[in-house]
Amino acid sequence: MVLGSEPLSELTQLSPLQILGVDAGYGEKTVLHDVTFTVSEPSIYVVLGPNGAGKTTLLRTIAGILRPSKGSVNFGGTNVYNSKEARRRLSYLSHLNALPEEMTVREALEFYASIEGGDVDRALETLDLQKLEGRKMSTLSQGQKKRVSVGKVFLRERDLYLLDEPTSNLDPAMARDVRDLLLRLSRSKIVLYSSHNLYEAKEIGKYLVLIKDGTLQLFDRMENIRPKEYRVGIRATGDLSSLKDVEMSNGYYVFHVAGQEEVGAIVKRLVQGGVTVTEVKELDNPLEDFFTR
Amino acid sequence: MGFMTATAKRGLKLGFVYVALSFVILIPVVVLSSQKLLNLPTHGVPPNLDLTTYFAFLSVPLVGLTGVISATPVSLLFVHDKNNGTLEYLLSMGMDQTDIFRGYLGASLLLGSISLFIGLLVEAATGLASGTSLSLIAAQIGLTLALGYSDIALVSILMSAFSSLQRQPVGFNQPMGIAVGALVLSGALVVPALAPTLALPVELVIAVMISLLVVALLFLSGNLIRREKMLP
Repeated sequence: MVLGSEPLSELTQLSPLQILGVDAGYGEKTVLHDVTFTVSEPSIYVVLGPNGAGKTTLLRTIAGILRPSKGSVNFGGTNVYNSKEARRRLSYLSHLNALPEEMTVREALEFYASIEGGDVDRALETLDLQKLEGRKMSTLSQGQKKRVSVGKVFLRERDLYLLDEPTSNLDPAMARDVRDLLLRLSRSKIVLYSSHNLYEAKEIGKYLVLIKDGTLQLFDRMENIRPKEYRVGIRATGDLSSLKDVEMSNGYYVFHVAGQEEVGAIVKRLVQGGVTVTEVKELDNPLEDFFTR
Repeated sequence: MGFMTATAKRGLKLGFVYVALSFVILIPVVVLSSQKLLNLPTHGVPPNLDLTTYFAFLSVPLVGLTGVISATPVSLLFVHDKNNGTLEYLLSMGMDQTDIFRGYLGASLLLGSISLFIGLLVEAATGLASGTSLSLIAAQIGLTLALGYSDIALVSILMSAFSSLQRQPVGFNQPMGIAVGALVLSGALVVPALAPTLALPVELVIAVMISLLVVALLFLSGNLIRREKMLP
């Protein structure tokens, strides 16, 4: 199945999203402290951080739901909190499904379409929900509800997508399809995407926005994120245990290298030595470092 | 179909039993309005008390109460929608807290209209059948509309406000809105007994005061209640 296979229309120019010195929180409690970054390139920006770091608060503030107590969030030069027009250009998917339980899938999507416009059939098709459209929300599994919840984001096109754990509760096949959909979407739109799945984050994210204790720790391209230690596992015919600095773990010969660049040289050396390499696997995710530090 | 109509439709679908229950309250309204027809005993009644006028005004808050009861599901939906993230999503769609309050308020008034109009029909029909004067029936209907709609609006906005202001996310304080609305109606219930001749102006003043309070609360809602109060 290919979700939303029709091409999404290209924007000639994307409006920049500016988060400028933002403090935000709930009542007296400030969660975000002086967060500043700007995005304008269509891409997927993965928002990572431990539980309680402020990821959801960041997305809610960007969505104009929470008022910054200091600083501002501007989209296309307009303050998002004060402008309904700016908020209509973005879509926010909360970690809750936000679906009326008493409705059928189609009715729930029609409910939102009646408020903001949009094409219910397009949303049903995009998330492959046609078979579920007559089912009541209350009878669906958590994963199916999540699909409907993601579907409502695709009722109409926006310029900015803020997605709080969009693949949680989805089965692996559907999660992959949603990731593919977001990857296609990110060719022409800005997608901010929070996740706890580090492998997913590394797979689809082009940029990393790292939040810890409510502060922005890092904002960089994913390719620039280097692990403290890079380990690669190699399966091969022949015994490599005699090689220097190689250990055996879970059926892999494990090599400790400085970076990805060295992996090619190792494989080349092995092949030249008459060894047949059957698998090369990156054993560590550099993003893990941010959670173990 | 806009947000308000969609919400009223949801309220009716989920809370049909409330609407049905409100019709039960119309039974005493029928009895009060057709007092002449039923030929109720009048011994012991002060000679200066016009029972027809007295009972006509007594039925006004009762019909108003039917409107409040049938509109209740919309206020319950407000808490449900807050807890499941629907309000948060509506905010992200470009609505603000005042739009949301107005939407649920309008839906309450729409749903309350069902019982209110049926109550008015009952009042008018039984009044006409009893030979009540047209001017009294007109006053009764006008007063029912004013008091009924203003009280539905007050209850709706208070229930939403109480559920937004409280710390508990389960809508624990929400029924206090109904209590306040019932208090206002019980006041209107007492007036015809205490001062029958003043029932019309006093109840009208009550309705106007409630309406002004509702309008003020609605205008202030944007400042009094922050958007974060709509979050689950």
